[in-house]
Amino acid sequence: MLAGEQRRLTERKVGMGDIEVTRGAFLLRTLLGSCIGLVIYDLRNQVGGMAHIVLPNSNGQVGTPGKYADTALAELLKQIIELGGRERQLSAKLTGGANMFATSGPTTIGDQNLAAIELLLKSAGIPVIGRHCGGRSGRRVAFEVDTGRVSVDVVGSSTVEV
Amino acid sequence: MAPAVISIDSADECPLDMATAVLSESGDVVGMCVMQMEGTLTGQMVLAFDDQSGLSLTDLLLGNPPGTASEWGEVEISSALESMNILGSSYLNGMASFLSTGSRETVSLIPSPPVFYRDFAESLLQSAFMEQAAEGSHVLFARARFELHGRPLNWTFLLIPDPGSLLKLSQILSSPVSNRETGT
Repeated sequence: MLAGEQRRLTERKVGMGDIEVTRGAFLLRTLLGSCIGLVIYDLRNQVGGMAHIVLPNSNGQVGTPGKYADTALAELLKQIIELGGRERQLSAKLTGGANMFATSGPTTIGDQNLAAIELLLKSAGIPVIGRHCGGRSGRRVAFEVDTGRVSVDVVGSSTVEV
Repeated sequence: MAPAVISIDSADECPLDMATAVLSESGDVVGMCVMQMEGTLTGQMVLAFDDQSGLSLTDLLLGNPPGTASEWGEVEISSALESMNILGSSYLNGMASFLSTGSRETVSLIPSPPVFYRDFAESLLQSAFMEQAAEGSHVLFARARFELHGRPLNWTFLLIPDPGSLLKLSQILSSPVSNRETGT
């Protein structure tokens, strides 16, 4: 069964630069292009969250922590711990980071986002146990908080679980 | 009555997540032709449509009865790209002419060849707005509407200037405009 199928879950949409952290039977959804959908969760305590990261580095900018990889990870971890998550029990899943417009300016922004968040997760000691990243296509992502399931839809392909 | 009309419908400044939902808020798949704007101002032009509206466009261009095109093949994509080429070039020519009138400099706007995408609307717009997103939390874009023989068409045309061009545009518009206002 894929994330959110045949279960009554409360849904929340995670917009660009947003962070959502919940506990229990919630389904967090987002749509990604070059952005990264960072999911971190504590399966035992059924606490988890998603950050929709737009850019790799905040360069000291404050105000929208979810927008940048460095500030998003810090804020996501803080909120998960506050809601009862245990730092040693956390796992991460990564989605997104596509390079969609070959002719646009920052063609490697997806790669930069991905590299930045992977480095930060490594430094924080959080294992990445699933990923669906890169390529040239957008992704529709659903994260089931209480089970840790993450499903990904790509136009023209079957839904996959990561 | 003019057979086809493109006119600026609105110029919007809004938060990033609202801008990416301008085509759809429910994860819809859209077709999109994207052209780069180069020259005095830089940015992107986007022509977006749902499948039905996009395929109707190809029927119109090929002179086929409505409903002939049923899926995106090579001919349909080529037709959409040609339409974008015509629309984007006309739009830039009109804008360059308008901005050059009364300005101290000649504004030159050059379109790139268009590229076709079919994907989630929000995923595509995230990429289109990325340059502006890198500079701030709000984005600015102009939306155009279409009429063919007096009937509105369900296509969305967006002009998304790069951040540096927003400043440049402001400078051009604040230069002496007496000729531009009178249209002479």
